[in-house]
Amino acid sequence: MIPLSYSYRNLRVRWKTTLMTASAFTLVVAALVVMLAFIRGVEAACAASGEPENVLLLAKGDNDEVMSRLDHVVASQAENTRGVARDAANQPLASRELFMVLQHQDEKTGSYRFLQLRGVLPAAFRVHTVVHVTVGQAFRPSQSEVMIGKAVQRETGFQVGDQIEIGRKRWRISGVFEANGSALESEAWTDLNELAGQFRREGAYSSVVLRARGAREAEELAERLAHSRSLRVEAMTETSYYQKQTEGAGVMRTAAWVIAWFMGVGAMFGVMNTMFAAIGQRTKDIAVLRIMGFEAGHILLAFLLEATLIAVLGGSLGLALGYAANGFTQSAAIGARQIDFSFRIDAGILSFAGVFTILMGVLGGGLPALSAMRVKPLEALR
Amino acid sequence: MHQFVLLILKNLGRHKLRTGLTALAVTVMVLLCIEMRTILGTVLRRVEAEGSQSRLMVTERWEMPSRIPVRYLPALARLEGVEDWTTWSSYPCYFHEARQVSQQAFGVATRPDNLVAMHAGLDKLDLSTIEDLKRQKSGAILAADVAKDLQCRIGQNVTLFSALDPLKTLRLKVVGILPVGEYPRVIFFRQDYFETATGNKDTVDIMWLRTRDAEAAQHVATQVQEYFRNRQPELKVETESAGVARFAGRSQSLLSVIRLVIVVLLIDMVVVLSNSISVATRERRVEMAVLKVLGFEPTAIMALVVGEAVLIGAASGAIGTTLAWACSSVALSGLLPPSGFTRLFYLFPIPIGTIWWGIPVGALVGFAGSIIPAWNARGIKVSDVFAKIA
Repeated sequence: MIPLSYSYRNLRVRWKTTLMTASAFTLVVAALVVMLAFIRGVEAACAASGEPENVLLLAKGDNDEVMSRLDHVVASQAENTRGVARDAANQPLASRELFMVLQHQDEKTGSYRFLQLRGVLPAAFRVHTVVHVTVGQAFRPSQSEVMIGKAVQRETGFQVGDQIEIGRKRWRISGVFEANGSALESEAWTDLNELAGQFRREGAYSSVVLRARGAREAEELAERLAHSRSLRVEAMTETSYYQKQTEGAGVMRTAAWVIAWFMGVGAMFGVMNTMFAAIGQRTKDIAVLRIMGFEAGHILLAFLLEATLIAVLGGSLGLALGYAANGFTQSAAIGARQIDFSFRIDAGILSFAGVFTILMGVLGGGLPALSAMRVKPLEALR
Repeated sequence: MHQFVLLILKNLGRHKLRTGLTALAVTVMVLLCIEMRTILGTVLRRVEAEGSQSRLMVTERWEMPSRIPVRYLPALARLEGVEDWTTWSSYPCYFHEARQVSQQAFGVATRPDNLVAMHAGLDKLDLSTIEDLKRQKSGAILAADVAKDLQCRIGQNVTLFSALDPLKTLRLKVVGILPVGEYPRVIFFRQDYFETATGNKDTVDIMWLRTRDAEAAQHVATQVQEYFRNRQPELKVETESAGVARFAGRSQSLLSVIRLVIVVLLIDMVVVLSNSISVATRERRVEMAVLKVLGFEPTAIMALVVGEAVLIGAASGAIGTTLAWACSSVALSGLLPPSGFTRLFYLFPIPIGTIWWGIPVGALVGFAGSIIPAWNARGIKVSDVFAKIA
């Protein structure tokens, strides 16, 4: 077996070429990591957006809150379904909600932007347990107050105490809330009745969220309501609702892989070039190695290793470069809503990128290594 | 000059494997780069170029999706400066009961008589198609990608399943197919049919107003704001370009990733080409020293190296873009079954003119990648090279 140091030293001797070839891998792997981090970030934001104990009810046929309309009768009936948890006062843990996407005009620039506004009752805080006010205080009912999610604050720059125009009134921002990085952070919350009154939606809700005792109970409740003959609603656990919203991410992941493979093939040809050049320069070395007793298989392995080392060097730098995107916050359109997400790089992505790098190195080094294996010692030394 | 080019060609032919591998690397990356650029370019073109400053988008002031009462329409159409108008009622739908993401489409109910005049990019639509739509109340014009997915032809019937209300199913007869790449996933049909089929006769989603120019549009916008200020519901008016840009802004993060990929591809091409040229230059130090002895100026040596890189880059660029165009053409020819691959080209078709784009890009990549190796070759000292041999 040819010592590993032989391959390593050869790379060091031709360090400029080694670095140049490796840098092609660096860029490819960095781009792959960023693309996968984007997709993982969107998926993670959606995954964090549902509480497994909660069951979301929408109008029959609707798959999004934006268009859904439920009336008072359906809401009351749903709240009293068996399996809905109750609080200390024996009231059902249920939240009637009115979700609206409003076109809010920036008072400074005059341009419009979308504002996702949710009208809720006090019960919402017991159902959506991840919501916590971090700055200021929660809105007070009938006081024309809204509280905004952390992501809305980041996007708009609104501060507690600011006044914004919604409908025919000016509303005061009472606080900023966090919701465990979920889609709720991209919303503003206000009093359901006041919001409904403002837009003539009294007695109509976009959704009703029911809380069960546990995740299993929530699944059973969702199943029961979805097949109920007396209640015509779409029922699903919150987690599966947000899971559905990320169906588009599957297409993005496929696209990312196709792009990465194409880029990888380009870098692979680069490695082939470098390795063929290296072999061309070292045919005499190879002949000497063969005469010293090293077998053709050893030569093959040594050159394959050299190509893989180049790929690993480039790939490692690429992983480090791509990792810089970790935590970078952006917003993306998921279905009818806009959510904030952070680029997320986890062990899975790093492993994928690592395997990809090694595979490209092996594929790129395979042909040159085979040609090195076939070098005839006597002819090479002649 | 002729001799010089011949010398470059001969040099490239001497190491066919290296030239071939370098060309393959650049070709593959140009192919991908052109598709990425087409996606980005198509989206930006729709936002910037087709978003007109003289066309106004009127919607309900606050809510999304918007609902404009039909009773407002006559007043809006009569405003001073309005040359033409149309309405949109949206119908998000699936064209299969299975309701998969890949079976989604966006139905748009609108006026058939001025469809071409009020919608940018429909100029290539056959006039007979519009006549058919006027005659056939349940007629529909499908985006090319939807027609491909449905594998339907003109004259066939299609059923659309509402994404919002399972009871509101539409049965339409295909009277035309939109030019490839225009209004992807959209199905146009008549407003009057929509009203009858769904029972929604009270509201429309958007009203589009066409004015003479941007100044007239501003005048109309002012009138709309004044006239509807204290009405319930209030109206909002903005130019088409502002409205389209606002919607496109929702995909900004995805566009940023595409931009990043294009930049990485371009840099990667430069690196791969530069590496290959560097290796070739190092191997030919003696030959270059001989050329200097024969009287070649250092700039001529430099031009020789740069010329090789530019030629290989330009040729690979042209091959890459030609391949990309060929893939797009095969996908659009209908020879391939519907898949993610064909759908991509229906959404973002690669026009034939793109082939020429590959040459300058490849040449520029070659130029950028060869500057350092060429500079090094220029500085080769004859005495050093021959001293080593001796």
